[in-house]
Amino acid sequence: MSSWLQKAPFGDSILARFRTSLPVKDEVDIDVCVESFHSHWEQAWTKMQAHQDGTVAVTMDEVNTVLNHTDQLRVLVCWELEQQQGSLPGRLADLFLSNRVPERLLSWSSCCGQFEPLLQSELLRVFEQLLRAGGGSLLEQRALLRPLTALLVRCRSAPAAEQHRRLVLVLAQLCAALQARPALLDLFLGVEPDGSVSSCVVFSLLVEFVHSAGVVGATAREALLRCTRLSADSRPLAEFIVHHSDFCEVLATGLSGLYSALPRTPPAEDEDLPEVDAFVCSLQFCNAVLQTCHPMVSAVLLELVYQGFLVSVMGPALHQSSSEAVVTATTYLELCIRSVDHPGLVRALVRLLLRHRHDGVAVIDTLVQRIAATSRLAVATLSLLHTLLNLNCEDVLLELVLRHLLPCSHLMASQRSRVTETDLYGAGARRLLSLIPACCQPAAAADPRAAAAAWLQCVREARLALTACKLATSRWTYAYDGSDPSPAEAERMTRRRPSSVGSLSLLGMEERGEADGETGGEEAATAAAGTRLSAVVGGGPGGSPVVHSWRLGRLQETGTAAGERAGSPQSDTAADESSPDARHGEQTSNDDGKGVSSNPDSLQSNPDGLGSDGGSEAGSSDASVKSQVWATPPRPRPPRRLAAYAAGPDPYPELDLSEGDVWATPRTSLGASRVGPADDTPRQLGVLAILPDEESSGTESSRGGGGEPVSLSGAEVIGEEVRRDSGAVAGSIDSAEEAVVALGEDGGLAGTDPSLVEDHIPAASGPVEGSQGQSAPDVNSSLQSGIEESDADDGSHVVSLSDLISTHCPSDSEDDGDRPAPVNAQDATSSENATTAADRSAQERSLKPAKDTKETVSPCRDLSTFVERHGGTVRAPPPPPGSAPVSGSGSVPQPPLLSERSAGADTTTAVPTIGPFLLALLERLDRATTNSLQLNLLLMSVISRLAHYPQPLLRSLLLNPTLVCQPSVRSLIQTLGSLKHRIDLATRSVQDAPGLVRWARSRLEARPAAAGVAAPASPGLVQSPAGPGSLPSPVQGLTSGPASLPAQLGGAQTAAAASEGDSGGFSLTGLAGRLRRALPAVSLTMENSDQPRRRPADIISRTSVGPDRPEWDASERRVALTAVLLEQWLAELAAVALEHSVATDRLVFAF
Amino acid sequence: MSRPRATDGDTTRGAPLFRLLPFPAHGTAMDGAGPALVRRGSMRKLLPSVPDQQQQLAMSNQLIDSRTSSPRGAHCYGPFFLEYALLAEYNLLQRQRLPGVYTVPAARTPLVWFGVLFIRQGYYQEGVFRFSVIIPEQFPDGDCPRVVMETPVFHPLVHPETGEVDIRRGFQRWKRNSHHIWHVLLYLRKAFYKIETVQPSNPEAAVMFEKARDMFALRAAECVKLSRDRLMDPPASDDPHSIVFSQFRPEVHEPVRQAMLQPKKEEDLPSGPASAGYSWVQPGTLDIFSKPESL
Repeated sequence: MSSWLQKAPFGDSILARFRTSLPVKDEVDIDVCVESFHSHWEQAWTKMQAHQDGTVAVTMDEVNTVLNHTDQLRVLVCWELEQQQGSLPGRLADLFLSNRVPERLLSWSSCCGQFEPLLQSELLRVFEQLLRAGGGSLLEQRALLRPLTALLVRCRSAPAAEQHRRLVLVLAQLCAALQARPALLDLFLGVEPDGSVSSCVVFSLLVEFVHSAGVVGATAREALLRCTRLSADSRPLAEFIVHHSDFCEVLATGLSGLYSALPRTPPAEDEDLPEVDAFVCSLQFCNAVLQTCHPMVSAVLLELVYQGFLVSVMGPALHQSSSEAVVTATTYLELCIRSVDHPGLVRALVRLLLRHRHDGVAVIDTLVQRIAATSRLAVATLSLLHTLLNLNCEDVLLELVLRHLLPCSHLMASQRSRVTETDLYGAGARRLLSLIPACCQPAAAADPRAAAAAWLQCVREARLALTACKLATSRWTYAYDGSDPSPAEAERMTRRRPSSVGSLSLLGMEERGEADGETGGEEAATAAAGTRLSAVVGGGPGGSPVVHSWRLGRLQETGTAAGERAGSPQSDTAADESSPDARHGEQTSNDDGKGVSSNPDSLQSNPDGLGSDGGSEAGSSDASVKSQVWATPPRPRPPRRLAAYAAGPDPYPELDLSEGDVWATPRTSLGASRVGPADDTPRQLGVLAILPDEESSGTESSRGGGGEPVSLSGAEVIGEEVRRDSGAVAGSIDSAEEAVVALGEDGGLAGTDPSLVEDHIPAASGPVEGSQGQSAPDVNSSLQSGIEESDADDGSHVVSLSDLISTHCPSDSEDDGDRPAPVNAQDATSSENATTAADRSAQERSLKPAKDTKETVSPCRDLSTFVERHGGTVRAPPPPPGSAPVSGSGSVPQPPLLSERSAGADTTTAVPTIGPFLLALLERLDRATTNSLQLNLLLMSVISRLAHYPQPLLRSLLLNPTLVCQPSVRSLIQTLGSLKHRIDLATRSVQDAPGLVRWARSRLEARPAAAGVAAPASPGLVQSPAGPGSLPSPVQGLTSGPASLPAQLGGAQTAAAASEGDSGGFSLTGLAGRLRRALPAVSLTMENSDQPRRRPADIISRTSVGPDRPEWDASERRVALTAVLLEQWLAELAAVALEHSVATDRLVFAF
Repeated sequence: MSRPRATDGDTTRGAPLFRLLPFPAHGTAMDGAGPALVRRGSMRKLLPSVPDQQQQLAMSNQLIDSRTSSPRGAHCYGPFFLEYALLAEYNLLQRQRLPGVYTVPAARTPLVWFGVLFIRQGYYQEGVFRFSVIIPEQFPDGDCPRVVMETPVFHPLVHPETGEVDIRRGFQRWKRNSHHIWHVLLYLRKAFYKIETVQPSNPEAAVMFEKARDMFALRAAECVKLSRDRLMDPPASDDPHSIVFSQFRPEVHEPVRQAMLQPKKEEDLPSGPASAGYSWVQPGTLDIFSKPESL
């Protein structure tokens, strides 16, 4: 700080020209100095006395004279202070104090009228320099302390910026002095009779500048950090901060305010963004405060940040209606996670994702669904998920993956003991390598040396990543090895879990906040965040009136800002909370699942509650209850998001590489059931993104404002109908399922909300499949047995299934018969090459509610796989949107909600599942040939990152090819196998396939150059890794992630990787670096995904890798690029598998 | 006939503490020592910790020239698979902690493991026998690994001229996944405690064991003595990892010994905020964020 201080411009002071520096030398006799002191003081004092009575106006000249003389005094005293080491004041300082120079100057300044600010400012400077020279020693002197405090209080209201600057400087010096001598702290604490601290002028003053821009703000924050550090050891100060200062509120609301100032669209890559810097700076300041302060302070601050910023601003931002805004918000959230490292703050961020519910859906569920969304949204989401995985956080992994694997239901019973098996002889790696597309193989013999070097590189990176991950997860609560906890234990623990179990401490806080908010009177009228904030903190007697009102104003201000930001249509939650109906707001935002109406999960996730529902209530009421829960949000809102988001034209028409947004083609020809982009609530962006525009706008219009009630009753009616048809439907069948089936027959019901129907399409497929038994392709023959099976599992409700099917399936079977055999890879490939138009029409067909229902339900063969995975939907009714079949069809399901998890916990009836997250990843991977390049890169990096985790349940599932899963569970290897198959078929017919592969390689290698950041690629650089096994940069750079080392830089192709990292290409490392530097990452992500597509010809000519071959069409090229990418990724995965096989239990024995 | 003494010969006899070169291999004395050493040890020779492109290229050249790819892999990665398989085997061996058996893979090839066998009971009590394990290139699909004693050993299963121990009798057909190298070493160790005479490699020793047990004991004692006499001799191989014995020199060995006796505690291991993961799952539950926030 002192460095910039010296550079600070003094020229703006009119005193500058009068000021002559006194040449004080070391050898100067102290007596001379004393004499000089006396003479200066005498002259100054004379001038001052002339105006003591205030009758004669002070002139500028007089002020200057006085200041000039006092400045000389200051120089003398400072000189002495610097000379002497002792704590006792020397002669000059003694004179300075005994003459009460500061006090007299201060009192004189009040007589100076217009010159008062100037005098105060100069006085501040004097104090600051004295403090700097003398440290805390002078503070013990009352003659200094009293005027200083008085001056500080007086300056508080000073409007002048210059004075603010000086004030902050003095405060900073003061804090430095206090830190050096914590004992002095008491001098600045205003102690009440009862011993509590009610004021701390230094701290309160500093808080006002915490969000200031420039040097003032930085200095203030630095000084505040010293204070918070002091608070760690000073309980009185900590109590003051918590109860009497608005420090925590200012920080939390400041975050909201700064967030609201962030650009709402992904900014361009190299754009300088002061807003982003300011936001990150503020966030990191919070982080730093948390790391230094007293636990009491951090608890309050964390809660305020969580409620006031994350829940009320970040949460709604993630659920906005425009995809662009959501992409941006996702990226900002990732930026947040990457910017902080205080465990509490990380916890708050993760908690927002895992626990917070927006409109009844956990944020993480929404994110998982977005994996299947448009390319850009999926990219942003995957990037965020990758960052989450990089946290090595048990809670994240438990929620996303491990919870679903713990019951071991995905494995054949005989295989459960094999989970911990070590893959001694690299079977997994061999298998992975064998899945390299054939078109990439022949070249494998070309340059074995480069290949081996690349392989070494790969292996080394894998080892580093694995070691780091193993170390980081070594203190997790469980080992997740199939026995810790065992499936039975896992079941028991999941069962026991009451729906309201939440984070205890935070829950308590929330309740308190709620209560206070109700009684809070006028404060409750302020913005919700403000309400919460003051409520939580308001436990104390309250500050001085001034501070109080100031605080209110502050809160309102920031609250408004936040409202504006998140405001307008998006900020549902914020709006709710700011409404007088605070209660409801609480409930909506209550992420601990207490409110039944707002939390559908509470119904289904509680097995006991479910059982009683099904048992005690008649079918219809039960069904309607559930459908209501799912069909209507806790609080009806105009469905504007759907309209806004889906109706417009796709804002990101993808060019040659990425028609990833469009449905993958294979599905069509496979005749697989197209499970509509089902979603429980139409507000889900991930789903909406997939809706073709025309369709959804139609949907929207038909839906109108009052859609929910209508659709609800429709569902009920249909439910009744079906029950009549099919006999007794016992309790738990979701009425929606019935609704859909019925719809299928009736060809659509007027007045029924089509979107609702769509929402429940997968639900409908659930029971149909459920009745098919495990893996029997023949519908009819297996129907009965399947029913019996499920009947045995859960006797309550399945009887009707057979009726349902017999009633409705004939048409399905016909459909099935008409279609090509489902898993026909030939078709798949040809369809890959099919035009987008075909895609789109198929898509439309599948989305048309009425006639499409049949299609959806029909292809039973495909659906058969559904049973095991989603039988849970049969038992636990409301099937989350997207439980969809996977089997080779390439269909894009909406994965079931994570919150459905507890449904499958019962081991006896456990449904084989690997959880929605893995499912969504594999589904997206299945569409690799249609994904954009960048999406594929991220997807692969996410899966690779998962593979780094040493937990046997996950490791075995991903990397052990000999582990036999339930037939319905598709493993990574299987997905890769079908992908390879499709790629092989597609490339077989391509003319000059080797040339195409060469083109793809050079294209991938040319990317950094294409990004325009790296220097034009030198031929050597580009060609050296052209060897077969060369593991080009992209994947390497990607998977190394932020945690891994820059070790990837070791040679030709790694140089490419490095430059890529620099360019911020698709390398996450680069991205991480950018993010770390608080630069907007969005742009990188976005920009580069587009770039190669924009100018392919340009790239090719620049890298001089042969002429562009026009005979390859876009889809062929896409396939080739995917193939090359896959080759490299498989090598990387193989390396990971190998490293797992030799990973040792103990890490280090160093001596 | 001298009855085997109950005392533990190699440990009570203080003098030669074998020199660790470069790292102790495996066994009870260094149970804490195992894994990490190996990670950094010879098996990793292909994967230098400091990336060096030239070196890597050279080494991969060597690799590719010296061995053809594994038939199964159909890739250039064959040699790597072999190494990983052997490394995994070595990890397995470490977990067994066979008493009195120490092995370390050779520096120049992963296919040779140097070993030393301390016999603590029986006819060969106090013997310190050096041996090599020679692993077939096709491992784990090939034949049973061979074991060759370095010093002549008078034993029914040890060939009097080649020094090869008849291990195959225990592993008629080498089965990957069910047979491991530690089985071989276990078999080797057992052979010195429980003498077998059926189908001997050294019929003389077998006959003597059956007919003239005293004579056999004398001959066994002779080779024990021989093994001890030649303990300090330089090893037969010049491989840097071959096991070398030298007199205990406190200034050299004592610090190492002390360090080994006091393995680092877990909390000393590097763990910072950067390397630490997070867990808020309360033991006994599967609820996220169930652990109270640590303040």
